Amino acid sequence: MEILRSNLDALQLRNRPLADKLEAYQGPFVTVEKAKNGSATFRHMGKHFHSAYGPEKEASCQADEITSKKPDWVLLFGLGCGHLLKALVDKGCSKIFVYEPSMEILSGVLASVDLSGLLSSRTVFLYEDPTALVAGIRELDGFDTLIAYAPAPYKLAFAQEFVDFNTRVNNAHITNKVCIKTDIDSRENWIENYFGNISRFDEYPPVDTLKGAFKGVPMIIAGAGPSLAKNAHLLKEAKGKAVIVAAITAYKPLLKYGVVPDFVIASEKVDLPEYFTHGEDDLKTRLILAEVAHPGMFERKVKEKFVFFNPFVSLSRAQAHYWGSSYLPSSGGSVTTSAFDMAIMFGCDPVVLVGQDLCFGENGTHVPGGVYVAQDVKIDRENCKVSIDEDYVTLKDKAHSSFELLWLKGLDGAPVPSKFDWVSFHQWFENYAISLKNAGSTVRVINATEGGAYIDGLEHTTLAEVLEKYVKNEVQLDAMIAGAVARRVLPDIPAITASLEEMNNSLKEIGRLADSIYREVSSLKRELGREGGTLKAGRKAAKVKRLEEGLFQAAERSPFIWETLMASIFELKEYLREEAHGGTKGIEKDIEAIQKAYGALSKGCAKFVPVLTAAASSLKSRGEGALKKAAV
Amino acid sequence: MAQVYLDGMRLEFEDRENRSTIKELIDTIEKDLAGLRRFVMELWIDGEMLEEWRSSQVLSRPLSIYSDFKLKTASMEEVALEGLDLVQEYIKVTKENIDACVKDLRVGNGRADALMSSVFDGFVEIVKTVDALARGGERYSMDLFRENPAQYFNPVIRGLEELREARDGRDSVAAADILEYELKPLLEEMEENLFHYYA
Repeated sequence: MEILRSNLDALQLRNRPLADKLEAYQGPFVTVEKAKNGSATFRHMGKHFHSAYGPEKEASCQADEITSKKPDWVLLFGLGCGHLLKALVDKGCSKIFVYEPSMEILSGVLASVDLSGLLSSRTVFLYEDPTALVAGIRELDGFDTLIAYAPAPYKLAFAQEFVDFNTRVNNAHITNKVCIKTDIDSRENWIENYFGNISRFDEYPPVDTLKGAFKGVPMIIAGAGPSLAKNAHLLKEAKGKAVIVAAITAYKPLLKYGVVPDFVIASEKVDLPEYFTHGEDDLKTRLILAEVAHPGMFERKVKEKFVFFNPFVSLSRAQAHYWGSSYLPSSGGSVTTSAFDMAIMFGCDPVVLVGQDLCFGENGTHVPGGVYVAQDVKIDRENCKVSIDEDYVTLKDKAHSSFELLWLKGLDGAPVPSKFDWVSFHQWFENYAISLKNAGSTVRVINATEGGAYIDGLEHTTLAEVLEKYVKNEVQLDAMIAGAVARRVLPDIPAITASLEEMNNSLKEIGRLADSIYREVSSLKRELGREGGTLKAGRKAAKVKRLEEGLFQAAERSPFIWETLMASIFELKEYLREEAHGGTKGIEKDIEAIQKAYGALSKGCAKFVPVLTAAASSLKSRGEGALKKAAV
Repeated sequence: MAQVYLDGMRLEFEDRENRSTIKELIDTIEKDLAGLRRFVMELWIDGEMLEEWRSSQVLSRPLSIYSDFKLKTASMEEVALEGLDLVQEYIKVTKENIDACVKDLRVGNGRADALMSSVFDGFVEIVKTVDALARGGERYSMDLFRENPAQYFNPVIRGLEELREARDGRDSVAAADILEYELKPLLEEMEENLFHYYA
């Protein structure tokens, strides 16, 4: 009992739900026995899971194999008696995720083998719940290398769990990598868009103006997955009895079924006029737009517009409250995930998904009726690739794209083909469902998508059943919205202007310091080449360090500048990683890398100083204009 | 008519109706050599040394299609020494294969099956060669081993049988344990206790 207590105490600090689960566990458990050398081993289904002679030697051999590949993180499928975990830590490989698929093994081992020292480590994570494991992996840096390892007895005894583990880990890690790519590709655009939209934020209320406005009203969120064709026609019945929100890709397809959604949600960084009808239907719906959506999206003529601020944009984190918003939605990377979180914020119940397939359909990626006119999807299972040729409404030629093929569990339990972004959204939905449960939420979250991936933690049913059970009463949506908008918190323009001016001043300071560092580093490089130049170079290096400290201090007041430099930051990071892995390239290359990074920073500052100046002065004049109006 | 040389000396061999085989030639010569405690060790045909000349494929060939046979002989003692060297080499290689196989089984590499087959083959060759040497030694009154090698045969067979069961049951932990802690120590014991000298 003492050993178990000690293990559980250690686990309490690192993974409380698992510690609690083990504490309450009453099921069968394995009996730990002694190997010939006195160490711990056990049998499961008649087979030893560790050597019956010398488990440590066996583990050492496995650890050598793993550490020879120099991974940043090791993912062990199976804790066993902890021999391999200990061997890895002893060999200096301390960043480890352990997933144990069997409570029978976990409870037996933790009752007999003292692993409290290992389990207390801040870099050792033990899981029994695969969704929690995936959430842990999603916290990792996409640059990190991962190696997953399963001892043979685990692979055999838990074959299905191992396949599932591998799929989930692979999906999570690819998603991490893709997030880096998204950051590189999108951050600068998002920031440009934010400043491009800044004059509109006071015009359109933040979406949390509607907080609690739809208490108990069902919300149906329509994605544009191929299965939407199976039940979109039923949404007509829900009109006026539920809040219908369409992802922008699902807007036009829904119109074909005679359904005008109450809201269309969009956050595209590029302008997408082709998603709209530019006619009567547009004027019947409302747009919920991300602050970083393309300014063109704010030009669309619709019934009403709302804005939401994203937590992953530092400008929004700093300024959303000045705009009257205290809500930064949780997002899994798609507007449907953001809408799901908004539904909870609105007070809706139940929250229902349709058209959220998260996988390839038989004939394409989207329901017909949208912007993809014809699609030809080819799935190459052997090489794990998917290629898509498609006709897009605004393109003359066929567009071609290809992706790594990933898999998710389908509604019927069989795997369904997917790709990184859908997998990422899928993980978000599962984690979100767990968070809701852990927070004691009683809101029913339902997946009424009639095809595609199964989402753990959501109730699965058909839309017809949802309508029959929950969508019965008429709701006065227009009145509810109007009432909420009337109570809107107005933006604090002077505070925003001051915030922008402060950012701008720090940006100028960052630019000046980056220029100085660039110059100092360039002359340091020259000194190194000269005879007796080492002393001077040392002084210059110290100066660079001082300048850097000043720069980082200035950047704290204008953190968005880092986001505009994602590409060069990641390039530098990759360079430093290679060095850390023993690939020293020499001091000249180091200096070149530093020059390049500060050169990019200087350019970034030069680009955004006038943008901020213009934004601040336009807001200032608006503020003054408003004051004059108020005085009149 | 084919010319036959034995250790450089030309022999007269009657190839009846040109239908005699290489086997008949070797048998006739070894029969004559038995009293001298010598054996044919090498066979050269038309200037080329044949490696696998004791295979039925070679032995069944007619003499008449070749022109020149050279046979080299060795004494019983030379043959025995060569056999002992061979056993020790088999033991060394099998031990190496065991180490590699154990590592692959522990780590989970796919080569383990192929290595395990080599280990099985190695043990079979060791037992066969030791047995042949022991019988030959007895027959020609030569003291080839320090102790009776037959005492190792049953433990080896038992170990191999357990290994086969572990392999068939896909129990890689047990298979590695048997190899590392049962079969390899047997080879080490044989190596230490059987031989008068080490190759």
